[in-house]
Amino acid sequence: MNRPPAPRDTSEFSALTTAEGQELNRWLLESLDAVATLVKSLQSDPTKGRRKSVFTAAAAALARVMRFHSMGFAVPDASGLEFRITSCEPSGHRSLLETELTRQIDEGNFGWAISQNRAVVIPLREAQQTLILHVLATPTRVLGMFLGIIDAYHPIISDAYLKLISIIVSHCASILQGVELQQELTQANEDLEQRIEERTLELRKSQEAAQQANKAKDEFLATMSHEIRTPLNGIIGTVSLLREAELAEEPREYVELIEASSAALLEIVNEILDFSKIQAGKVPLENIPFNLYEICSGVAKLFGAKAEDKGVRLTLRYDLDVPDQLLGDPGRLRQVITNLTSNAIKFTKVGSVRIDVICERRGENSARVRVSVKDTGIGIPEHMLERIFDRFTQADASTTREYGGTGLGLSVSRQLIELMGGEIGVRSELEVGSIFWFNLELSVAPDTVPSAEELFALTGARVLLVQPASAADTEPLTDGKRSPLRCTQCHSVADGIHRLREAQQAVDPFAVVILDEALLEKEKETLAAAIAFDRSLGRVALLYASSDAERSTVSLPSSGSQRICLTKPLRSEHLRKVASRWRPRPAAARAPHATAPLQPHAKPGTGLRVLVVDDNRINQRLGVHMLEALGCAVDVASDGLEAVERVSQRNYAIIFMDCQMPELDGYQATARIRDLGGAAATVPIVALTANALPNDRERCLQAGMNDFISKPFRRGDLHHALEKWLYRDKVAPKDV
Amino acid sequence: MSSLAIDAMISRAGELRSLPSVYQRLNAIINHPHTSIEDIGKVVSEDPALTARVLRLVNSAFWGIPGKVETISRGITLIGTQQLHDLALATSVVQMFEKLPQDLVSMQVFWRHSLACAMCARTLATLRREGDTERLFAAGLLHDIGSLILYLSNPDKARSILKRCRQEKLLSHDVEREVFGFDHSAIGDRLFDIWCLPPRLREAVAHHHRPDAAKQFPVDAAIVHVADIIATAMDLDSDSEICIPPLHGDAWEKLALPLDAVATVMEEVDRELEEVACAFLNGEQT
Repeated sequence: MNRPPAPRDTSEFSALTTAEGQELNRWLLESLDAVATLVKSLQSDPTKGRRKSVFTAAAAALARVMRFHSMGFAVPDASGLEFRITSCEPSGHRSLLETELTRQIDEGNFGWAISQNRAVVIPLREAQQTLILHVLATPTRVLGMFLGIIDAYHPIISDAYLKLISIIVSHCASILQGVELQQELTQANEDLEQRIEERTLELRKSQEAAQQANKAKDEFLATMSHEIRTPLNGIIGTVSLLREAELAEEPREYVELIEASSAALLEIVNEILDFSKIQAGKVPLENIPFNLYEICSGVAKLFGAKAEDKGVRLTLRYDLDVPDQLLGDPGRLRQVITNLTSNAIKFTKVGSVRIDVICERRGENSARVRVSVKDTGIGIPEHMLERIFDRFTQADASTTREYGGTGLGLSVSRQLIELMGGEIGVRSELEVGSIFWFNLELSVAPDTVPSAEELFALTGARVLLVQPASAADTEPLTDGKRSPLRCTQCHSVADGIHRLREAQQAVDPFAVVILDEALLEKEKETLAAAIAFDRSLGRVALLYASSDAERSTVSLPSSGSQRICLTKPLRSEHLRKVASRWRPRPAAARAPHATAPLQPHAKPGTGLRVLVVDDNRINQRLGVHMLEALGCAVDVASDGLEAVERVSQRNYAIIFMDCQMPELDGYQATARIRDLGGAAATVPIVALTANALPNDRERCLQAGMNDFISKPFRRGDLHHALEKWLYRDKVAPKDV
Repeated sequence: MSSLAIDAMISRAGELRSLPSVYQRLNAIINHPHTSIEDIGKVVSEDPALTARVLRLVNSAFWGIPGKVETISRGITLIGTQQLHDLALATSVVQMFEKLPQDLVSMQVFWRHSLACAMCARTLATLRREGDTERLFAAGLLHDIGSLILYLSNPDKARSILKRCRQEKLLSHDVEREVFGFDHSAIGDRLFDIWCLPPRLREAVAHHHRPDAAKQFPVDAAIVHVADIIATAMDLDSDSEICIPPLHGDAWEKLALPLDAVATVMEEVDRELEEVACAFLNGEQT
């Protein structure tokens, strides 16, 4: 249809011949089919279409619409600054199209065609050809240019041709943009995935680094406290030896000072060790029966003297509804109560410290206990209350200077209470005082019924209850029919003193006096003084009974320097507990080792040959001195190899074995000693270790040792070990 | 009823029943499938006044055609057959009216607004990357052709309508409907019908006040509608008493152009209006 026409008279255009009409019709159908084919082939899956195939399909469609001498698409190159020809058809005409492209750009036709969204027809006079330019663009972007050369200078190109070219090229453009967007999307997705991966890796790395650092810190703390404990052991041991020496007044005071300071240092080191162990999750809690009263009164006794020195009154107020036998970790509980009490006394200059133990709820098999320690100390500023349990935090830096301490105690306490499933907290008012408290839900140990023997023993304990007549009507306490309890009530102090003296003379003395806080101050003081100083009344424990409303004001010392209060109202059951606790213990029931007081000059080791294995010179000497003081003949080995050698040469009654040594450590040495056979297979081996973790004990026992003494140790520890392992079955091997 | 009244009005306005013969021959040749560019160029060149005016137009900076367009043939190759046809149509219609007696309104003011509207419409079409921007130019130029018929056929009524519009701040097409029962866009519609102009052009003119009524080519009508408003706004200096017609419905949204396109159009038209007006409106003098 592109034959060059001769210029004709316009009148010729008035009508079409049949042949022309048929030709036109054929062309129309052919063109529409070309367009339809293109649309179908490209739209079937535009996401998979590659640029090349889009251009190829478009070129095929264009060739069906119009007979081109050559055609191609000009697209920006990678730099985006210049155009190059792609999908040239026939491929040999590329340079021809490129030349034409350059010329059209120079003449401005290219720029014009870009601004037009339609075919621009440009006659090429020299070549006697016609160029058709059509921008390859979507409404938002120009992607390139279609160039087609027709081999005629005056072609008949009706608008229908140009419209078809427009449709095909525009379609091609939108498909190309789709492909590009798809590629960008894919690229963006890949970038995103890569970025996420990189970020995840970074996060993981930093997390690992943080964990590593934390682990390193915990290990450092544990190692450091361990390393400190070893020399500290030397100091404490040496000092305890020094105390036994004959010393003048002044050096003795110095020695006591060193002893107090090293004990304080040990406490700090223990706190740090505790803290790092808790942080490392290495604190296994015990679950054994214990008596909370024993713990609390023990703490009260421990701090009684210290409080008295400061002029601070320490009171334990104990609710007897708390079951006697609870299940838990008494050691850790004692640690917490000790910490809270120690803090309270430390920060109180004037006034009192009161430990309150209340049974908040009593269930079938469990009890909810609340322990609080109230002081009249300096108090804590409100903004510090939330942080006070954080590690290394005290109310302010000056507190540390004035009162000392690591600031770890409360942190350790909180972690321990939380480990036990409890809750810990504080209320405070500046210059008025603080109350530290914790709640714990504890199981009740199943067997809390007193044995027949105990019940029998109870009948021997007499309790005198002194209370005003107004308070006595709460519950009849002297129900002698149902209970073996022998409780006497009286309503005045004078009467009380009279009855005490009477009972003493009748050789059926009272064991306990319970003094009601509701009595007049003066009366209470009189009775307290009488019990403390009047020998004719006998040795009687003095307890107080108070309700929340009554404030204890008696300042005289009673049993020791701490006061023990029972919460009112008192019931027979409470008194029975009191009676059983203060009953005179039958001598036969005494445990020989646990309670026998150490006699300083006893020499239980006389005639025994023992071996001390330790690589540390000081500890070695310390062990030797202590054991020699106990009468032993001591040999020394500086490491595991030497120890094995010595054991193979002679028999020892007992071996004290350090665990961590160079060459051959305590565990390996023990194994080799056991392998020697004979006496060596059964000789008691007691581990000496600064590792205070329970699983160290396990390890010692697994290695074949018999017992475990944790450093720093005192002479008493060695003494106990000798008693335990050598006199238990009275078959101790003697030195030969 | 109103169709008859409109026909009467068109008759009264002057000899407007048919377009110039050059346009009719151009139309025939373009629609013939065996036409070369040379053939078309030859037809247009038969009317030297039209040729000169079209060439002046496309050589103005507003068109931005590279190099100087010396012949209609080159003009056709660069702007396209249909585009040249549209331009030739617009130009011939303007020529037709220049020959009619006129005293009521300043032809300068009327055509200046029409030209501004045409340029706005063409620029909007370019921004939309429409293929046939000249069609929109023609539609913009001829959008108020009905008003011209009205002025020429009923000068007294037209004068009072204009007066009322200015005094009461009313829109002319509202008052026209009140007075005649139809407005100038209906007259334009009928005139294009008589001239057998393509429906696309006809719809854009017929619905330039209510673009949503355009059934086939709503975007074209919306372009002319928006162009009319922009051009009126730009005219405010010269005749501040004319009210700007309100933007109709979602006409702007139909264009799918960013809002700053309005500023682009106004800057472009403001810069080029003088030159194009010189080339186009003073055709007789040069």
